[in-house]
Amino acid sequence: MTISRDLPPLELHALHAREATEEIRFDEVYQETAPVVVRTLRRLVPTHLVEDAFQDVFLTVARRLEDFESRSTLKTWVIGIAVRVASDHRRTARRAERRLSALGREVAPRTVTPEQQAVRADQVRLLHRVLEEMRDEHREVLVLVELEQMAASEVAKLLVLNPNTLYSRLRAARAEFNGIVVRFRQGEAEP
Amino acid sequence: MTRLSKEALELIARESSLDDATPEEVARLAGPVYAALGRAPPVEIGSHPLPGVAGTSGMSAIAKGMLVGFLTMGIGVGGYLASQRNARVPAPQSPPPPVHSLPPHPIVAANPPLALSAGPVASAVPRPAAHKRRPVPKPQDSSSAGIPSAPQEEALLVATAGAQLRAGNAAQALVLYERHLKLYPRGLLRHESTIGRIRALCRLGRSEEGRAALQRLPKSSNHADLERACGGSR
Repeated sequence: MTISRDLPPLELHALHAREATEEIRFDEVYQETAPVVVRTLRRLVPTHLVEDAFQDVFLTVARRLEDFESRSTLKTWVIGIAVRVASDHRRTARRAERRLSALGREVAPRTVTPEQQAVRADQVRLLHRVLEEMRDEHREVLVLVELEQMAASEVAKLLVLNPNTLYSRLRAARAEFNGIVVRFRQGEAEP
Repeated sequence: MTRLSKEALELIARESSLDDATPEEVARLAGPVYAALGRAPPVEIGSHPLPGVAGTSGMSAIAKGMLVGFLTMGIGVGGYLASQRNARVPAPQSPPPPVHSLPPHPIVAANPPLALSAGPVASAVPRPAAHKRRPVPKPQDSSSAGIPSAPQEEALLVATAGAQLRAGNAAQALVLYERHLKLYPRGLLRHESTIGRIRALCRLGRSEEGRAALQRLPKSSNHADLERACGGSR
């Protein structure tokens, strides 16, 4: 821990001014990007993980705001953080699910009735169900390009991908999305 | 290039806007975030239309204005210091030195955490360990531990806050005044800082808070002027 009493006025003042400015800047960033972060997370992680992920995104933003170098737009930078946080949360949730399901097989069978399943499926919107079915890497690309309407070049930078890789992933993502939509529609049409 | 099917596009058109967050949701989600950061969310969050959300542009005009304000403040501080301490200031416009390069100094054990007991804005919630922020300067009590007060530091903070207020950056001025009051609750310039804070609050439209703070202030020649600035007394 340090104390600033011994700092000369310039440094001390600079410290105060920078901290105050960072706080204000964070507030601005929050106001400007919170809605897009919520939107992106709702599409990238299951609903019950959105709030935790949201908090992690903005704690990361607060920690790294100083490092933002305007090489991308602020929105792109924050979305990049959201995508990485979402990926971490999905991975953690999957691990937890695997552990729980292994435990569940030994302890007690799942007791969700078909009626409950039907109700739950109705509550989750079709778009989210389709996205949930997609491979993680396809979902990210599709959400950013098709739903968030970001330029492919920007997405390639954000995901640290070669542009050709991005385009091929986007093609695959669209094909997967189309296929899942058809499958869901057919499922709905069945009596 | 594979394209999205008509059905897929229809689905996106129909449901994608349902993912948009309402201002109320944004405000609600701010609570845990700001709590983890150790401060309260500003009142603006959730109470105004959110700029730059719909578009794909980068910083909002407000953010740009704030950065310009910071630059101005840097220049102002440089100028102020140059007039006071020629030998110390290498260049007026030079950016502040990186904090991590500042030599650490051990805390004097006898120095009590003043702000936690004395200041009106001393509700600094301890930051969680996971959130690695630069160590916040500890408040100093010039009267209790025999440590000399820091009039220069105080003057710099208050002067910069005043410059920000005059430049129309009331939000930034408010942060600086509150920081001064938190760091120097018994400082020589606390009265000036309190008055400045009231002005900043009223300019930000937080007249209720401004008037409440004004009522706690001993009557002075500034009173009528401040009341006018805050839209008159009720």
